[in-house]
Amino acid sequence: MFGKLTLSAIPFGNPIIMGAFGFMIFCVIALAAAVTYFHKWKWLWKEWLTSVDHKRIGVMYIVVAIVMGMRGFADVVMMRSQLALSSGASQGYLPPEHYDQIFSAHGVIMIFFMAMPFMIGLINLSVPLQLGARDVAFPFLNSVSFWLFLVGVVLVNLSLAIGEFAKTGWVAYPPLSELTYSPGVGVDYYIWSLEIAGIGTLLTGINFLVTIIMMRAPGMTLMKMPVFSWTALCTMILVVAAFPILTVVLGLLALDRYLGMHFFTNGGGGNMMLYVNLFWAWGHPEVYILVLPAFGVFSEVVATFAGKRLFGYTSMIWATIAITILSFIVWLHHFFTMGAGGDVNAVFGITTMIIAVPTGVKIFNWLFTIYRGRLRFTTPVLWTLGFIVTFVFGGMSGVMLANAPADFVLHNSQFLIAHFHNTIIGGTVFGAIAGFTYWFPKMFGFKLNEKLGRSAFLCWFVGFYLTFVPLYILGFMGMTRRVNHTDNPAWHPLLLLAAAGVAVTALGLFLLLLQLVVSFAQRKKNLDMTGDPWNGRTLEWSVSSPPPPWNFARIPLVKDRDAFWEMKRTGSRTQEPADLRPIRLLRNTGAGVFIGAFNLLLGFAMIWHIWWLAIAGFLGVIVVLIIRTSSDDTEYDVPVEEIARHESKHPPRVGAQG
Amino acid sequence: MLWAVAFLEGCSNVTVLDPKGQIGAEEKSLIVTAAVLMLIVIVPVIIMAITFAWRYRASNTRARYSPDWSHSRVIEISVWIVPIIIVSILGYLGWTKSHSLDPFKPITSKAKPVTIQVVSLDWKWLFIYPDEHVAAVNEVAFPVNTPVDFFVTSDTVMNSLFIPQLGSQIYSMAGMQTQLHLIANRIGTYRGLSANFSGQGFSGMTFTAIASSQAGYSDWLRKARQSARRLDAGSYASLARASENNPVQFFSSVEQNLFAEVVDKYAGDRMKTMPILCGS
Repeated sequence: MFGKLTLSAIPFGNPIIMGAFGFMIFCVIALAAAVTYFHKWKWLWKEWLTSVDHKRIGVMYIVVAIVMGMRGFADVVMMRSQLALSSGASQGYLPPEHYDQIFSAHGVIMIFFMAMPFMIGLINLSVPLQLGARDVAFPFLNSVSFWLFLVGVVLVNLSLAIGEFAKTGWVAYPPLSELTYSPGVGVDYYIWSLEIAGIGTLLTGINFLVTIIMMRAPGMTLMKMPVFSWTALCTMILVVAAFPILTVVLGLLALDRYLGMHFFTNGGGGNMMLYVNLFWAWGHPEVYILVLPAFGVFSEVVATFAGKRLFGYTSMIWATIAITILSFIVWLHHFFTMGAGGDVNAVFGITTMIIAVPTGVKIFNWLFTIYRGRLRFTTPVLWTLGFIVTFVFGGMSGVMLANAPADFVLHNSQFLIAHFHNTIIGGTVFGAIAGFTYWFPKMFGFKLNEKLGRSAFLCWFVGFYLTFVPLYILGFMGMTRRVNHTDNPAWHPLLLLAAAGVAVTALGLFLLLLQLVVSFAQRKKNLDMTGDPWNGRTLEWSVSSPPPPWNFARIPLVKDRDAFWEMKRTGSRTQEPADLRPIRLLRNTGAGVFIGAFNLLLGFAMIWHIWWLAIAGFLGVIVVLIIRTSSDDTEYDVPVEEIARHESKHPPRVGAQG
Repeated sequence: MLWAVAFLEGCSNVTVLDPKGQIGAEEKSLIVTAAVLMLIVIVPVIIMAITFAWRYRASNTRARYSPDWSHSRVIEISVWIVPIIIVSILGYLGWTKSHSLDPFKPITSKAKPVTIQVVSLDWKWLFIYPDEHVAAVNEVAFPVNTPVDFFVTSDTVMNSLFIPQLGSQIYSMAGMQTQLHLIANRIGTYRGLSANFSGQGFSGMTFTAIASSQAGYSDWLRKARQSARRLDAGSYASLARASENNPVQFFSSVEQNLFAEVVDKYAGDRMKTMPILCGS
C-alpha cells in the first residue's frame, strides 16, 4: 500500500534530525497560527499564492530562497563545527551517514533552492519593469514554474525526517549513486526534487526568453536594453540550453535505479564517465546561470549610485555573450583527473582561461563607471565593491585550477571548495543581497535600514575571508573535500579559524534578518513615495513603488539606453501621452498551486515506490491542466477609472526629480 | 599574496607547495607562475577599486564628474588586450604543461621504473606489485629517484589516487585502467588518500607512501614476503568486502592476473555493449 514507506523511515532515535524537523514543524504551525489569528488566509490565497503577477511571484521566490538559505546555512554550521571538533582522536558529533547527507543537502539547497531562485526572483521582479512590459509573456506558466520549484523545496525538506537525503555529494556521481551503493531513498529524493524543480526552471527560461525578445517597449532595441535584462536574457538562454541535459541525465540515473538499466553502472556495459560529462555539460552553464544575473545587478547598482552612464556598455554586452557561449565549452575542467590526455585537457583548460578575459573586461568597466562619477556609498554599493575585491581572487584561483597540471594537485581539495565559494558567495550571494537591497523599495514601497545593512555587509565580508582563506591554505596542505574527520594536527587551527568565520557570517545573516524586521517597523520613516528612491536610470523606477498590477498605465516610449534617466533629464514624459485605455490582465488562478500539489504527490510517491499514488498524482496534473486550458474566463479588464485613480495618486513622472 | 605564498612555502605542512618529487615540483611552479601572472591584473584592480571609490565619493565635489562619459577607445582596447595577453601566456603554459605533465606519460629516467597496480576498494587501497608478486593494503613503497608506474582501477565506486607531496592524482574507475606516473626525489613517508568522495568510510581511506633507499625498499619487500596472507580469488573476495579504517596488511603472494581480472569483471560487459567507445 505504501511502497517502501514504513514508520521506521523516520529516524526517531536521532535527536539532531528530530530536533531540526521539530523546529521546522514548529515554524510551519506558528506561521499557520499567525495567519489564522490575523484572518489572513483569504488574503494569502487570493493575493499571493494564486497570483500570476511577476512581481509577487518574484517576491515569493525570494522569500523561499531566504528560508532555504537559512536551512543551507544551518548545514554549514553543522559541517564546520563537526570539522572543528573532529580532529585526531575525537570523532565529533556527526557520524558519516549523517554528515554525508548534510554536505549533499547543503550543495543542492544552496545551488538549486537558494542561489538560483534568488536570482530568478530578482529577474521576475525587475525584468518586465525594465522592459516596459505589463507582465511576462506567459504569466500562468510563471506561476506553474514557481510551484514546481516549490515541490523540489518541499521534497528536500521532507527528506530530513522521512527517510534520508542523498549521501553522495551534490553531484551524485554514479556508481556511488546507483542502487548497489546507495540502496536508500536519499538519491531518489535528490532525483525527483531536481527533476520537478528543474522543469519549473526550464519553463521560467522559456518564459523570460520570450518576454525579453518579444515584449520590450517600443524603441527599446536590444542594444538599448538595461544590462540586467541583458544578463537575464543570457541566463535564460543558458537555462533553456542546459536544463534539458540535467533532466535527461537524472532521468537516465532514475532508469538505472528504478528499472535496472545500465547507463552508468559499473557492470552491464554502463559507464559512469557519461554521467560525469553530461552532469557538467549542464553544471558549468549552471555556474553562469548563477553569476550572470549578479553581474547584471552590479552593473545597475554601479551606474545608478555613481550617477553616471555605465562605462563600455557595448563591451559589457559582448563580454556577457562571450561568457554565455564559452560556458558551454569548458565542462571538462571539472574532471581533468579522469585521464582524458594532454590534448583534451589542454583545450578545455585554455577555453576555461579565456573566460577570464570577458570577466576581466566587466570588472574594469565597473571600475571605470565609478571613475569620474559621484559615488553614493549605499549598502548595494558596499556589496558591489566587496564583490569586485573578492571576486578577483575567485577568478585568480579559477585560472590556477584551469591549468590541468595544477588541478592535478588541487582537484577536490579544500582549495577547490574555497574557489567556488569565493565566486558563488563573492559573486552570486553578494549580488543577490545587493539586488535585494536595491529593488526592495520597488517591491514594498520602503527602503531598508542602511545602518544594519552596512553592519551586515561588514560581517559577511570579514566572515567570508575568515572562513575561506583557511580553506585555500588547507587545500595547499593536501586536505581533500567531504571528509568528516581529520587526523592532521597542523590542519586543526585552520579548521577552527574557518569555524570562527562561520560564526561571524552567522552574525551577518542575523543582521540581515534584523534589518528586515527593523526596516518594517520603521517603514513610515523610509517610505518611497516617488517610486524612484535612488535617482534611478531604468524604467522600473518610473512607476510607483510597489507598481500597480498592470505596471504601466501607458506603455513607455524608449529613445535611449538609460531610458528613465534621459526622460528625467530632457523633461519628456515617461509614458505615451495617449488616453488611458482598459488593460487586459490575467486573473489569479489556483491551477498552479494544484499542479504543484499533484506533482508533490507524484514525486513523493515515486521516491517511496507508492505506484498508485504516483499514477493519481500524474493524472491529477493532467486533469488540472485540462480544466485550466479549457476554461475561457481567465482574463479581466482593469477599468479606466481604476487606472486613473492610481495615476492620480502616483502621477507619471515628468522632468527631473526635485 | 606573494608574501602569503612565501610564508606557506616555509611551512613544511603545506604539502602541495612543499613537493618531494619532480612532478609535484613542476606543478607547484606552475601554480606559483599562474598566481603571479594573475596578480598583474588583480593588484591594479584592487587599488583602482579602492582609490576610484574613495576619490569619486559623492561628498568629494572637487573630483571631476562626467555623467555622460561612458566610452574611451584607449581604455576599452586595453581592458581587452591586457587580459588577452596574460591569458595567452597562461594558455601557452597550459598547453605545454598539460602534455608534459600528463599523468599517463611515463617519466624518463635512467632508473628502471617500478610497476604498481592499484585497486580502490570500499574503503581501502590495494597495491599489487606484479613483478615482485607481493601486495599491500593501505601502504605502498618504492625506491627514491625511481619512476613509479601506477596502473589504477576500482572494484567499487570512483575514487582518486593522490599522494599530495609527489604530485598528480588520477581517478580510479571500475572496468577501466588509468595510469599515474610519479617519482619521489627525496626519502620520506608521505600521506596518500582518496580525493574523490566514495561513501561511508571515505575519510579513513588513507594510506602511507614510503619512498626509501633501494635497501629500504628491499627490506619492505622482504617484510611483505614474510606475511602469512596470500592474495587469491578467495582472500580477495573477503578483502573486497566493505571495511573502514582498514589496517595495513601485506600479502606474500598474489594470484597471477588478479588485476586484469578485476578490470575485466566490468570491462567485459562494456566491450560487448559499447565496442566503439572501447576502441575495439
